[in-house]
Amino acid sequence: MKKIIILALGAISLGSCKKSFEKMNINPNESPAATPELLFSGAAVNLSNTRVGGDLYVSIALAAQTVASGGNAGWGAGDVYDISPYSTGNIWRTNYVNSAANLKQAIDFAQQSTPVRYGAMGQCQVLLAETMYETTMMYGDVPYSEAWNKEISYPHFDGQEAVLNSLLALLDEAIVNLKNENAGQTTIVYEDYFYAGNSTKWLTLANSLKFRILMTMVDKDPSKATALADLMTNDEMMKSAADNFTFKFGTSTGNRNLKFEILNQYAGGSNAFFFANKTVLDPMLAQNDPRIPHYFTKGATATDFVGVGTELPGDFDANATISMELYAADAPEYLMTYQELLFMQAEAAARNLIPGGLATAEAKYQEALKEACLLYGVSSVDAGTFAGSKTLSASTAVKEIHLQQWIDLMDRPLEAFNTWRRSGTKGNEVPSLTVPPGAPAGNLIYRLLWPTDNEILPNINAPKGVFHYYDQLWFDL
Amino acid sequence: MKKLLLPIALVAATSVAAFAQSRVVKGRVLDETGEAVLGASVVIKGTQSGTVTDDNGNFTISVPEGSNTLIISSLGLGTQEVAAGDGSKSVTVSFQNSKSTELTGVVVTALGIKRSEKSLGYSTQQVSKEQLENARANNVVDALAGKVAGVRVNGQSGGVGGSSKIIIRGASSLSGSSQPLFVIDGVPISNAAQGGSGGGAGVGVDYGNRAGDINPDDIETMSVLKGPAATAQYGSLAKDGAIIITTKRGSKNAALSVSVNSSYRVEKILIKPELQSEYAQGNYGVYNLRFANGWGPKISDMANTPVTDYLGRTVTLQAHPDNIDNFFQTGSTAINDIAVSGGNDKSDYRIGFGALNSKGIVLNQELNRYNLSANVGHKFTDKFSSRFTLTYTNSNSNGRPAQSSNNPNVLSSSIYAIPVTVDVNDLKANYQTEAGVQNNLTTDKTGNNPFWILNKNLNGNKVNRFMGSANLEYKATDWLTISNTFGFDAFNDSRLGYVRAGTAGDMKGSYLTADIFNKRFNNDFIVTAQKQINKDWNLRGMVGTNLLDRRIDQSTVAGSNFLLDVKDGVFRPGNVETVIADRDYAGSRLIGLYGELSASYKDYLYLSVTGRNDWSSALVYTGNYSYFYPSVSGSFVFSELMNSNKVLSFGKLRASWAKVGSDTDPYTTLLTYSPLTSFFTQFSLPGNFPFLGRGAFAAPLVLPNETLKPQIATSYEIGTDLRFFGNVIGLDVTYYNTITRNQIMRITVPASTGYFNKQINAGSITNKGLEAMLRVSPFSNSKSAFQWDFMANFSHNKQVVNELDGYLQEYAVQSGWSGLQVKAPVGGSFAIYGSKWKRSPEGEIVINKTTGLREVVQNQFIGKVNPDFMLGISNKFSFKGVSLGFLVDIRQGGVFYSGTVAALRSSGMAAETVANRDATFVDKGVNDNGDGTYSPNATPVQSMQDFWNTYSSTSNTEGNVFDASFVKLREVTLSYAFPEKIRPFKKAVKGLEIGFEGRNLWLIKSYVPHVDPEMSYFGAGSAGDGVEFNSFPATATYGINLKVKF
Repeated sequence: MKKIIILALGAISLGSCKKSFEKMNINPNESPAATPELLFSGAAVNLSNTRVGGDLYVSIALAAQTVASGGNAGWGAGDVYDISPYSTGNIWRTNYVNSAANLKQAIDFAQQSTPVRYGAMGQCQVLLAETMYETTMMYGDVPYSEAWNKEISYPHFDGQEAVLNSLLALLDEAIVNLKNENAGQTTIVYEDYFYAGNSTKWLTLANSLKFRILMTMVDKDPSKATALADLMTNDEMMKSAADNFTFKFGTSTGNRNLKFEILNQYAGGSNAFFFANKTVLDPMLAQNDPRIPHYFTKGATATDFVGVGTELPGDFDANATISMELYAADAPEYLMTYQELLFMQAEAAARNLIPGGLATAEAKYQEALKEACLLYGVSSVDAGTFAGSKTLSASTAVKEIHLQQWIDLMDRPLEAFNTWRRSGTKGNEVPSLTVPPGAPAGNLIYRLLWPTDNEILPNINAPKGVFHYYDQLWFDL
Repeated sequence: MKKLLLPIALVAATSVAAFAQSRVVKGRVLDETGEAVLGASVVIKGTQSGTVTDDNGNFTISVPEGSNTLIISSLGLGTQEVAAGDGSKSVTVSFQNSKSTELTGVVVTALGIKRSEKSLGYSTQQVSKEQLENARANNVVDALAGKVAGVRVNGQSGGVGGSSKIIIRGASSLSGSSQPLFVIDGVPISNAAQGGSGGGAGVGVDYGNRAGDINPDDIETMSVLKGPAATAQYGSLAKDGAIIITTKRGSKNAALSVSVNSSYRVEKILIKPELQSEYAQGNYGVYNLRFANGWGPKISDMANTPVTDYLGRTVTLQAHPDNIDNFFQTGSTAINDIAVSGGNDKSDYRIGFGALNSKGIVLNQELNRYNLSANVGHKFTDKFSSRFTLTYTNSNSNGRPAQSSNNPNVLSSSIYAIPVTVDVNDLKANYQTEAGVQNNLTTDKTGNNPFWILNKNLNGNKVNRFMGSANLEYKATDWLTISNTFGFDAFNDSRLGYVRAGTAGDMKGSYLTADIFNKRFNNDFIVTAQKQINKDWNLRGMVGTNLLDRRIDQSTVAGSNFLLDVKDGVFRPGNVETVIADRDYAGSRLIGLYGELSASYKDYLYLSVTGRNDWSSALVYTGNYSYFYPSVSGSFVFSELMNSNKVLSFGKLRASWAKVGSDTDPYTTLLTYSPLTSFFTQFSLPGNFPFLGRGAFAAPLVLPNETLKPQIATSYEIGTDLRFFGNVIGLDVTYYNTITRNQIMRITVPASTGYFNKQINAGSITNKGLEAMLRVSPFSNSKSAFQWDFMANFSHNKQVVNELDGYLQEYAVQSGWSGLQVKAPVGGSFAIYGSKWKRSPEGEIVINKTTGLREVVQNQFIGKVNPDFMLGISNKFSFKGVSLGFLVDIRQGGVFYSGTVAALRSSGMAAETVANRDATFVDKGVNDNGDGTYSPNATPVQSMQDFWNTYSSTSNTEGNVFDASFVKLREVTLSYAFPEKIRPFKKAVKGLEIGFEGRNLWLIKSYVPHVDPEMSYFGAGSAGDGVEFNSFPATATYGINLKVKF
């Protein structure tokens, strides 16, 4: 009897087999497949939140000098080009992995559906194009043709020109998909934070993004002017602010704009970190811009709006800070706006890249200014008056347009940085910036450095050599 | 006193073969404490025939007619002659002089098998109950510090119930934990440190490691098995060594005995930061309430300039240099243990109850732990016996401090930022208004009043844990034993952390609950055969099977924005605006089949071969789920072959070679999509799904590997154990070399592949080193009443990362902040990397010509984390019942990053920041002229605030890195055991001892200012080390101890 007990207990040790192992090792926490909706949702939230988060927004707003840190009074050292390698790495990882990789998979799932979901494919392709446009505009040459391929461990970097051309091709594919007859019925709807599944708006966006990419390329590749003119002729781009590529935030914890959350978490909910930079405020003051009180808040005891130079000591009593209107919990993030397109069209006309000359340029310019004022809360009367008062002259038109782009994009530092770099050859950009005190002497910033830990070191095919934040990218003259 | 008499009789005895009728005599050999002595030699006087005792001290010998005397001898116990009797009665031989198992040379090895130390081909070190009972540590892991060569212990924080990390012979893994296996009475238990600083429930909160649930008073012995040869039978689980704990049990045939062991201790902060008391809060010398720092005006200059304080009162600034002393209170710990034990000829039992009640050095920080344990053995028949153990642990803690950064509740940074012009007692009395609104320390509401944190925002957990084992043993014949041990370990760790509304950074409040259920059961079925072939040869064979099943089920609920902010509640999903709930389940099973064959020749040559095959559920989809690994070890007691000499009393050589395979975490080999509950944000800002009501899934961040192979560690070790002049000097030296190959790790892949990491088999790490233990007891041979025991444990480990994946040149073991990383570079060992001062080709520091401040370069090697050597030195003096012992712990080499120092200096709080504030300061270095030439720097810094803000910025790693070497007085014990003559209540009281005990008393030497260099931010579950980030300060403890035995 006792022997039997012992032997029975011993048998417990052996009472298992491969079958039960297989069952046991199926992950109950995760799924073997996903849907385009759920993957798109994650990608969109990651991309949009990175744009407003501590890595991208804070670093680039300070480095590009659209916002001032007030020296020790504020936050961060991006303005003296001390951008944490973690920040550059986080942006890179979010864009490649959390955003783009999931969009690639979403495209595959949509393509494998029966019927093929052309609408969803188009949406994901457009968002992927935006993701990679942002990426190449920060880092220049980046892996694209060999990225997101399980068989390739070490993707080669593509030149920026090739990347931008690939993105134009991707947008063309998206346009074909979005024009497919089933596109309207096969879009991602609820998880589409931008257009709630409206395939026409995505089509409009795809064309507008193409315009933006072409404008980026045209300085280096003047032949792109033809494509710009074609887009004008086809007339399938954004038509109003209702077409804006907007990501909305909520007011509940975890769904709030991270610009607000930084202040909420580290400054008790008020702006104790970010000052008005003279590069933006001074030209606005000069033209008595009605957006000033929407953009800024006066110093606690000041009677006027007084800006701070980059990295100069700020004083919360005397100096203006960025307003809580822009840093509200539910302040939306604009990935592309109608006014942005209008300013670019005005610029293209003024530069004779598209037909229409100065008259078209001025018309687009005034409309852009009006839309810009309206978007940031200026009354329609004031917006109309202000926009109507701004005329262009042939000799200064391009410069004026660039300055207004700069002002318009203050709170969208990546686009501001892009436009500034486009706005003139090295040393002739608009506005003219100077190296701030405390930054290494000699050079302004022209790019973000590739992340060492997430890409350069583990990638055998990554560019080798010494790179500087002041190296210009391909598109930048 | 006790000589290591060698059983020369066995060798020298003349052979008289007497072929006559013989009788069978059975017997048992016991030591002074009634413990079985195994491996004792039993020889019939006048012959060469003999046997050795088995694990239970039993022997059976055939005694020829005419012989009536047995010679019993054992290493360390000496020799006794006893009458063999006529065989009708069992012979019991008791050695009276033995003092500890260390001298009898019996150690507990893998699977709980007791073996004589001389037979082992590998190094083990045993910690006795005396070493654990005196100066008891709250966490058994801490009690090992300095006592065992090759063992490194790091406390994560000084908070009560904080976790401790233990590394044996260097970290073998690049990723994940390198924690040893804990085995209690044959059952591998969980030493999880779940969700501590690694994330999960309560970021930055240290919830302790579960080995901390063990009551040190229940431990009889603790064996540290260091290398793969020692742990071969445990396989995968013990790739980083094993700690084998045997709990106390009652003695057979002993009367009821009650023992009481009580300690009361007080705790004080060990290292107080040195703060300046000359400057008020402010900015560039101007008083400003916005900043909690020391960059304001000189207090003495403000005597006639009243200012507004944090409560809006008009005051004259005044320094409060005793703020730190006033902030920290005296902590206390009461440890009370009572045990009842006894037994008859069939049974033994011990029931113990332990209570540990500890209060921390700040308000509301407490740990209450209760252990109830039972250990019962019963012999059903001569052949069939059993043993059952059961332990219930209830542990409740509260006020666990948050550490690191990006958390509004981080305590130490908020304490150390209290401006010297603010009186801590005033702050304490006024942390909130009558209406319950916080009085913030600063006007921008970034700074929480530390007393608000202590009173309002608490993190605690409740652990309920059952552990037990059931062992049945059947002795089929005198040479065959069948045994089965079933064990289980199940606990629920229920956590609650909350931030009350009104806290800066989380104005509407939030809470987090985590329920972690851990369950494992383990079964070992073992058949052992042991046969004394003839008087020279003894063979032993064993086969066994093992089943280990582990499950973890964790549910978390995070709620934010309270609807009603209620004291002590209501922490339920219905009371918040946003809820994020998650659940994570993991289950895995391991089946092992193992065997061992060992042979011993005479009393001096031992050889053992083992093999084990594992089947792992976690690897089932890879096709590599079955794997085999062998070991071989041998021991040669060469002194047995030498003539008796007065110098070398005992000498042994040992050597072993072993392989150990190990598997991976479950569910890591197939591609799956996971639901998202959050997304990454810099600065730990909240980012959650569902986002505006929409959920999301994502492809995995780690590319799974469908062909993953088990990891294999190959190790050899050689060593010697020498004892001189009897037992006066003992020296034990071991050299080991372990190569871990096919390392299962997550390497960083280019993010452009679409993944963060890839699970691969790669890399090889070598850990080689030297361990030496020297013991000197100068008076042990004399009858002197004065005894002195000196012991030194030395260890040196050299770690080399040989290879990663062929291309990768470095591996990020852990990432910290702002460029700080712990990395493993090929050709080097784990090291801190980060930004370093820019230097000219001549090595001079490059200083910015405009600002006068240092410039930095990113991603540089700063220093290796691991020490060059560790040395533990203990001394024990005893004289007529008075005993004085102390243990000094020395660590040499390695570097240490202190986030606390960075904060103290950059905020102008540290004493050293006072220098040059009124003067012009030109930092020594050169300016880069931009043309490849450098000229001496002449630019003064604009202010010392700028200087320290740069020098000690967290992003300037080098400025905050120090030599990690230290010398510490770890333990002091002074005790007096009342001799019988003067013992009160002699009849009832069988033993009485009082004592003083102290732990972590004095940091004798350290190169790190302001903090204890032993702090560690990365928890026990991480491979990272050498970094401290706003850790809660460590404590020194002093107390009295009373032991009574009835």
